[in-house]
Amino acid sequence: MAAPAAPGEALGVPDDIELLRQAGQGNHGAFRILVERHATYLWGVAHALTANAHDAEDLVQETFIAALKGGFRGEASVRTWLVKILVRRAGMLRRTRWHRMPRVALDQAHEQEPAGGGEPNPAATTEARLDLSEMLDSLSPEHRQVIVLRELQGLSYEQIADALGVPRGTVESRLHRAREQLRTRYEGYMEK
Amino acid sequence: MTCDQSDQVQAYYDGELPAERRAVVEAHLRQCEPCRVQLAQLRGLSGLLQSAPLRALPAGAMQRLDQAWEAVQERAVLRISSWLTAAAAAVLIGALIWIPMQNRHASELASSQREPDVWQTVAVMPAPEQREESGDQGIVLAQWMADELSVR
Repeated sequence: MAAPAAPGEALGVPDDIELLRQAGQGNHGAFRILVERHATYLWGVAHALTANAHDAEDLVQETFIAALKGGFRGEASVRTWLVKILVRRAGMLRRTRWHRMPRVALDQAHEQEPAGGGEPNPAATTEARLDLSEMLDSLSPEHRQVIVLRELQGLSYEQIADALGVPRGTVESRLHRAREQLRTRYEGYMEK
Repeated sequence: MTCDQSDQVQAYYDGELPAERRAVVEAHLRQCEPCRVQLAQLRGLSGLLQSAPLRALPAGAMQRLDQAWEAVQERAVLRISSWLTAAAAAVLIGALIWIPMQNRHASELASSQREPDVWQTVAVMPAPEQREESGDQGIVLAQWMADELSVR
């Protein structure tokens, strides 16, 4: 079964690769379409990685700007490539900050309790599904990265190792620990 | 309850095992309930993560992305302008240095090719072929003096 077309493709709008090429040459219309296709998803992933709306938005901007400089080699989809850029930049953002505490989201649409507070209660949230940011909030930044790249992007261990600049064995062990933490925390949410 | 093969279950689940190793793990899974439970939990967790909704883009984010685009384009224009300015300045400086050097060189060349002054050659016997050809008074005087001295 063919993959669903991205918004606009059915109407003859260029695919992501062509849009990326045109945007890199200064075509604002192409940039706009790329943003409309991927910004929401990237922002969601960025927020899951940083647990902070301000940082998430900065990361998304930096990701799109970096994408304009080229470097896409066609080894994966454009979206996966963008996510890899975003995850690398999230790692760089974290390394520039010595003391990183999860902050309450600054935007008005996401006022919530401070991240990491309390155990999740499956009974209390049967109607309100956990979003990805909440699920990953209890993990360390390194563990969030491998979970995002493996579970959301389906990258292989080798690809994740390459994206993060760590050995393959490190990817495996981080993935194992992250999954253990999540399994322990959200066992009640999983389908039996 | 865990199994000493449990570290293979994750790699098996992620499709990271070579074919022969994969067959071994599959045979093990048929006999090991803890590993089967672990495999089921990995599948359940993946389902939960992949179906979890993402946070919505905050209001104004798209406009700010557009502004970021504008800023990038402006920086690109400024960068090109600064290159052109630097290039023009380099050409101007080069011209200010090179042209006088060329003029000085030409001047030195010209001075090396002109006729010597009279005082530089008045006491020097000109070559015979020059005596009759030259109309220079200095040479005529030199010829007379040479002739007078040679007679004595």
